[in-house]
Amino acid sequence: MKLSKKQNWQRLHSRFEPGFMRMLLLSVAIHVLLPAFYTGLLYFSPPKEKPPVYRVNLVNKPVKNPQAGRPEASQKKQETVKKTQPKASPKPVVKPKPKPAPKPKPKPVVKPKPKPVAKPKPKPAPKPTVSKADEQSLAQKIDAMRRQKEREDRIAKLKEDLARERDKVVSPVVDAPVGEITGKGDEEGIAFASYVKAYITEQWRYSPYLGNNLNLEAVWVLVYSAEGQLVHKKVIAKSGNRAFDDSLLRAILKSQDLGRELGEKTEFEVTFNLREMQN
Amino acid sequence: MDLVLQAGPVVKLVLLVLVYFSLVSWAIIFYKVRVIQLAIKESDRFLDFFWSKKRFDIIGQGVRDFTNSPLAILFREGYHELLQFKKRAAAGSEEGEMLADLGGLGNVSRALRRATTQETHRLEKYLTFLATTGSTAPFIGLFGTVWGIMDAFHGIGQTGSASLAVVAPGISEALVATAIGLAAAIPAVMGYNHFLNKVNVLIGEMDNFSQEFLNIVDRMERGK
Repeated sequence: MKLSKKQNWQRLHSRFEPGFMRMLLLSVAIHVLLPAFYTGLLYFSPPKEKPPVYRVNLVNKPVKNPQAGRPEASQKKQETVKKTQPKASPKPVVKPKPKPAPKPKPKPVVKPKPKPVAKPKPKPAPKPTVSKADEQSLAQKIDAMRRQKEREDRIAKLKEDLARERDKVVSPVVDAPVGEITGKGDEEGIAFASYVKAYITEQWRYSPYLGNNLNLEAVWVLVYSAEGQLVHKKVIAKSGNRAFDDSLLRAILKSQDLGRELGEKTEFEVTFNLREMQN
Repeated sequence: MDLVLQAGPVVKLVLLVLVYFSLVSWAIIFYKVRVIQLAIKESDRFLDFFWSKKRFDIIGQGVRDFTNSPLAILFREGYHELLQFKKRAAAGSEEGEMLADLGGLGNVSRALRRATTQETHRLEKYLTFLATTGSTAPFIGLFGTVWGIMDAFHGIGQTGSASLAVVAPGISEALVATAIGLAAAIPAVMGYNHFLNKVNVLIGEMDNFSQEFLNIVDRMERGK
């Protein structure tokens, strides 16, 4: 006795209480929809064609002799231009400023005091006794005053020069692009040591669950060949945290090939700081 | 989703079983929510109706409106048995037979007990599946996980590499089975406990109603 499909369905249906099949279908629908929601299928939208992105790292170009530079170089350019224009005119204004400053000081001190005191006193007496010796002493005093002024001018000039020199240390090249702040070379870019450190940090993986102590620091000496291959590595100072030291070793081993030629065999002493690396 | 698709055949089978358990569990939960809610609601309505009427024949006519109430079914069974007994009693008195009144009360009592048992079975139907899912699904999931981890370690042994990159995906795949087992078991256990509590309340109501019904029948018989 073969049963038709309808009879089979009716038999199956009769095994369950009325309404149960509907609930089963509802359950199936929920089990299909929930994973769909979870995987984001319902939010599916046709993928948009992304425009090609070209990345050129001009800032971190490693060079042998990096020059100094500031990220705000372009902004400072405008500022310096603005500053230099007014500087040209105020320069003569600045010069007379220190001059009148020392001048009035000795004048009111020297003139008013000796005049009321010295004039009335020597007038009655020196008139009859004006001699060559007095004239010489007066000339000497005037010379001493001139020398003093000259000294003061020199000191002011030296101070200005010193300030200029300080500015030169921060940024020896006015129009310098981004580079190393402490650099004094003549090439645009960063030092090889900084590049190596950044490259190793890129390869570095460290789980945040391995510890809360961020004050970990390790110093390594790394020797790279002229082709940019790691030749020798040596730890100078361990951090004291085995997990951190191991992670550094792994990162160094991963970055055995720098992907750049250094030109000559170079030795770097690199300090790895956990706090710095996690930022 | 990738984790499920990449899993081994045993883990996939385990996942299928767990999905089946989950599907049916949720179907039972939805079904039971509806059935028990209707039973409680209609029982309350029926009790109001029952105490507001003083004649069984009027209540017997109105019982048809309370198809989902177990108390209404109890009344229907008891009343039917009472009518049968009265018919036989009337026929017996005509034929000169003596029928004991208490024997009729006993019949009604048995009919009520049978109806109570039937209704309890109806209300508790499928709950055993929820209990089974709640107790076995985590173990089935655990079996899948253990199997998956065994598989992963076998792979590690073959490749000879014990790095996290090799170990982690296998363990992650294996743990999916436990996760799905728990996802199937937790609602099943919660649903089972909830429905069992509601069914117990209804069973208590049915017992109380049976006693009240028998008392009324007894008073009617003694009042003759």
